Amino acid sequence: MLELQVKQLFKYHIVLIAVIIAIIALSRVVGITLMKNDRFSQYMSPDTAVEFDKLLDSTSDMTLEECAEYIERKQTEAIMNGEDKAVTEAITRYNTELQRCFAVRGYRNYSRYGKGIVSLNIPSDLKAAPEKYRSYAVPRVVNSDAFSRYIFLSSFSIMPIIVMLITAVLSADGLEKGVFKQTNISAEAKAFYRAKEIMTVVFICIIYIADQLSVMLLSGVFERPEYRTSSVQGIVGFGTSAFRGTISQVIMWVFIRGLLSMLLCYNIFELIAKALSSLKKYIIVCTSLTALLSVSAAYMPALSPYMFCGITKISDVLYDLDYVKSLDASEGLIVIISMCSLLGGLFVWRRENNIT
Amino acid sequence: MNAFLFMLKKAIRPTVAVTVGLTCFAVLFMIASFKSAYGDDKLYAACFDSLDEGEEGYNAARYNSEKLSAEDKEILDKADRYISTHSNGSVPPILPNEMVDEIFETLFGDSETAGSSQYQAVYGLISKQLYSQTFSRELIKERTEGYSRNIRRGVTDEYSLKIAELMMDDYEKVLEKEENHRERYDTRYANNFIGFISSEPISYIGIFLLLFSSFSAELQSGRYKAFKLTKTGAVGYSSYRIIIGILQAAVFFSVYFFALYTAVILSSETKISSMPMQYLSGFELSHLPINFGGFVLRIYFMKLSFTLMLSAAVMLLSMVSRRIIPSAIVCLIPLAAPAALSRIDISLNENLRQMMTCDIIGMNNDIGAINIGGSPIDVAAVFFIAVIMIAVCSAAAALILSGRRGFDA
Repeated sequence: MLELQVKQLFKYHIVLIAVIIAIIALSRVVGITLMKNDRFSQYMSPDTAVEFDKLLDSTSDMTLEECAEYIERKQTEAIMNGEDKAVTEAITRYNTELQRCFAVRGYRNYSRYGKGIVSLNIPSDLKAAPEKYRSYAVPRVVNSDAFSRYIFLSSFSIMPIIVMLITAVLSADGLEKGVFKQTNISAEAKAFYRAKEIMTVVFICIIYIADQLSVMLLSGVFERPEYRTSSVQGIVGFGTSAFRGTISQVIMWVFIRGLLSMLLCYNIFELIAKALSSLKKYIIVCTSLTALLSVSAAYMPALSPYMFCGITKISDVLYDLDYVKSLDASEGLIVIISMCSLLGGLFVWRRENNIT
Repeated sequence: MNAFLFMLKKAIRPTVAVTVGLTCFAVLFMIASFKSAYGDDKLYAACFDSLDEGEEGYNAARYNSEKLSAEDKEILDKADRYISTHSNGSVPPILPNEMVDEIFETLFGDSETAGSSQYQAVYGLISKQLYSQTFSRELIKERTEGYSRNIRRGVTDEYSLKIAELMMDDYEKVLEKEENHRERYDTRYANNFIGFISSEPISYIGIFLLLFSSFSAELQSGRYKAFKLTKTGAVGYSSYRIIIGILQAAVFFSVYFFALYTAVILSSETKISSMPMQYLSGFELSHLPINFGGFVLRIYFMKLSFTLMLSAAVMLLSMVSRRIIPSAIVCLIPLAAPAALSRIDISLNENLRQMMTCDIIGMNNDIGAINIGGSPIDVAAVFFIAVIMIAVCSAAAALILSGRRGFDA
């Protein structure tokens, strides 16, 4: 039965697949074009990036103090030898990133031992919520360009619209025409619906993974192995983040949140399609839901992490996650837990009510 | 006529549902986002009331803001000096705890009193507001003097002379108006309302929900075939549908716009509707001799005409795409285009860019005239005529197409 569903998908819905691929490709092209045309780009030039990576390789197993000593020596050598612009730019950038690492270590030490602040940028909640900073890992200097590109490109993802389109074509259209009424009287109805459900969920997952993979490949996060071990606090803008993990873990969190959001979207859209049995009403209700949640996230970024069916900026989602004192964790944990419970509840409820 | 009334009656329910739903949502979110952006409202009110009227008030707000900033700078400079003198190469020294405590107390205050950073934000916001109210007259006078100087120096360009003459007249009226308004206004809500309404996407969502299926649903279901057999005919049906669609869009937008405006007026403590529009931040040099209420009416008509143009375009695309799902995708294009164009950096004539993106701030915050045949024409008038023409053309194209669909549907 599953084989039949897959065959039908490729036989009758090839236009849908082509449209989805075109939408994803277009969103990536727009994202890359805007990124390249950004006048205030903070990314390093290719030459500077090469020099910066050399510095990272040389200091990979050093402590922050040793890194400082090394970079100072390099700086002196660069001035004496009259090194080219790329080298001096890389050294300056490294020094800036290193100072941020010292600052984050300072927050950690202050929250643990009551002293240790080394920079003028002091977080306003350092005294009120020292638990947040206590378990910070000491960050390392990393090349944050790939992560910044990842965040930027992720903002052009319109997956809720794609899921709405998939559900419209695979379910809402058929429900309006009454196609499934014929299936209901067949002996194979149960197997048919199970296969259809599996096929749709897998199809959505594949599309989502393809979308995310394209972002990851284009941003170059796979080429940065140091992201697996470096704390996210070493990245600009994340120095006081409530997340306590490596950069790869943050990327994984974004991925999981997105995947769960899409499955939630699918469940909700499927329920709407079944309840309304009209394609026009389905599009009106689902568009309203997606649009209103997206607008809410845009005007009140603090709500972004919870706008599961909306188009949200990943930067807003990440920056606005707060620290939860009672859980001694970031709000990210609550987001994932609430999504899992909602999703589980919806799947069980739909199954019990034979909603498909 | 009976067919028209029947169709009109059918359109009332969805229009009411979309209008009420989106308007309530927009009002709630606009006010909530304004409140969250302003922070402590009581602190703001206390600071605002403590200031004198006129230039003294502005100077005091600026002085307080700068004084607080200087105090912060002093303590931060002290810490910076400590870091510079005690650093061991690139390794920064640990700041003494007394210094950290002092920074904390100064910047963030304690649980009972607000820190300097909060006061600075409040006084910064007040001085930004009062700047327009205090210096709009001076800025306009400076500009009119510049025009007179240019004329005396012998500028012979006919267009420049015409625009100078027009502006002098307008600015004279603006100055007269401002002379009668010496009162100080809290313009936070007014400023944010103008910012919100110039970039809000909710009205476009409303247009989409109301009209994306205006023709595609009938064409997909095959009901359109039946229309050509009736006395009204396919073209008659389409013309009624277009008129009703335009009416739906107009009703929705009018209710939506004035509900937002009413919410802003009710939230503001001062009577902002009667203040000169030059008191709005960024509009100090506007040549329009109208008050804020008049300005709101002006932007209402500008946005309404743009909305009607989009409605006609959406109905045309609904006719072209024939089926519901394609029309849902295609109809998003004209609605997303203004927002996309305003974010993409393309080399376009500034006036053209403003008109294409319905940039009501850009079209009203300065001289706002276009050179047409050597005469300065108000950009809003050109915008109004252009969008109405596009709307009429789109509606006509939809009608022509409906004639064809009537035969081959």
